[in-house]
Amino acid sequence: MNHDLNVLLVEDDDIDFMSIVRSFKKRKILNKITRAIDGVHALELLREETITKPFIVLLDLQMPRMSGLEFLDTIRNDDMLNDIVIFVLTTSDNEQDIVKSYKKHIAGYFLKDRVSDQFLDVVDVLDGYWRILQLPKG
Amino acid sequence: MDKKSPSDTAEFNISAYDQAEFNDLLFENMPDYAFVKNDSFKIVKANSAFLSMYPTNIRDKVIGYTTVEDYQPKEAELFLARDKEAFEQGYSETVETITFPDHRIRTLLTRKKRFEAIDGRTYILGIATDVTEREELIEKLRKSNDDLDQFAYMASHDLKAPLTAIAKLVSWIDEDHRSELPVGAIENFELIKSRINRMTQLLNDMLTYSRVNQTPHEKEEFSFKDLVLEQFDMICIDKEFNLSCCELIVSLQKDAIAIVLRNLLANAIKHHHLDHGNIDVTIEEKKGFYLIKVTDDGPGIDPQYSSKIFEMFQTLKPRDQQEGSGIGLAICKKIANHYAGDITLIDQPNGTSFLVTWPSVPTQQPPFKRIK
Repeated sequence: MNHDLNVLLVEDDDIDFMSIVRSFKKRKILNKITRAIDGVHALELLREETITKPFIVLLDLQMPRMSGLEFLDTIRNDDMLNDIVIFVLTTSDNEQDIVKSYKKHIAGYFLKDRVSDQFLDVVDVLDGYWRILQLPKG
Repeated sequence: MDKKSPSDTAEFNISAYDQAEFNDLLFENMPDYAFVKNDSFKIVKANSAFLSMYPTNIRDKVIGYTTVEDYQPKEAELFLARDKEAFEQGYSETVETITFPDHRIRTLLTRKKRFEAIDGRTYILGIATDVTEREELIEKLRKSNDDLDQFAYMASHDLKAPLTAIAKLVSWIDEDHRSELPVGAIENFELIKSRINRMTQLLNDMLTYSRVNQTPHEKEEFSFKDLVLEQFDMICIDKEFNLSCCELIVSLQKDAIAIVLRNLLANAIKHHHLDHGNIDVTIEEKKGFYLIKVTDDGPGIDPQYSSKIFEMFQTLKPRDQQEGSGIGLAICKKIANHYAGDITLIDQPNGTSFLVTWPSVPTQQPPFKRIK
């Protein structure tokens, strides 16, 4: 069983970020959320190893500088980082985005519109997933 | 209008000899590029408009020549293919962009018709109409329509993000500080929430409007009655409405029809002056099209608004009295028109009745009538 859920949240929107933090608090889940404001920032954090393993990534798609799909591309071509578990959390219900994301081996695709304004559903899923999940160590 | 006097008609009775001369006059003076080719693709006759495509110094090298070498190889290949098609099948028609021998680039609608002359040999008569301006305008119009749809999509999509953020912040203030707020502030917060919902509805409907005909709906066979009942059950949730609907198995674009029916049924319920009422839906098959009628016993619509109601953002009541984006009927009209149908308000003393016409046969016709 894993301890606290560690999340790298790649999200350019402050309110969405606050919203997710609130949802975790609401579920009384003690966790560590690290925020990156876009793909470039997220890569910096990952390469500096700022985030303690194990962790999962919650990724927005539309972001400045480096989009979610570009981030996925980079991660999957990086020998050091390509085993990271990534969930997409976006407003885009575009079929192309969904297909492209899964081709980059994401663990799941959540729609912001569909998950109410509080992301409680997403938090519940991630929490349940985290409790029984086995991730590579180190 | 004046009646035709017998002497007028008599003046058109020209002799066979005059007829030939008249035909030449017609051929020579028509604004279209007209030419006759023989079965070895050589031009044997051409009018002055056709000859004017060629620079003056080579105009004597047109009649009796194929003139293929005067054109770009790719373009020549295309019009020779149409020549062959006309010789083999009797007729060909194409819209083509051609670089003229005098280097002008024009778009032509070219029709080629095979005929047999007294000498027993077959020829083709070619008539090419310059449609460059028309095609350019069509292209511009298409682009600006696409841009408009794209703009509406982007605008409604991007406006939704800050709106969602506002909605969240308001609900957080409510959650965290409700007990500290004075009554007046709480009332205003409720108003903010209702306006947020209204704007969300508006943006969602705008999105629907801009995307509505982007997905092509294929025809499928289905029970009209089942579709109406299905849509009705989705909308009529907490109100007592009676629905009557006739049955007909139809072959139509189901998903598109469903959107139209859903909007009409929702309007009938929403705008009814009572919380109960009757709705009647009928469908009739006519020659080449269906007539769908949705009638209710609500307050009715003043006929003076019969066209205004189909415009974007039009509502007949202030939105504070009756929630609505004012886009529903505009969506219905856009869909019906897309499938070459229409929707109109029927003038009647009681209640409201909408008539939808929807073609049952493919409406794709050849763009131009063929020459006989």
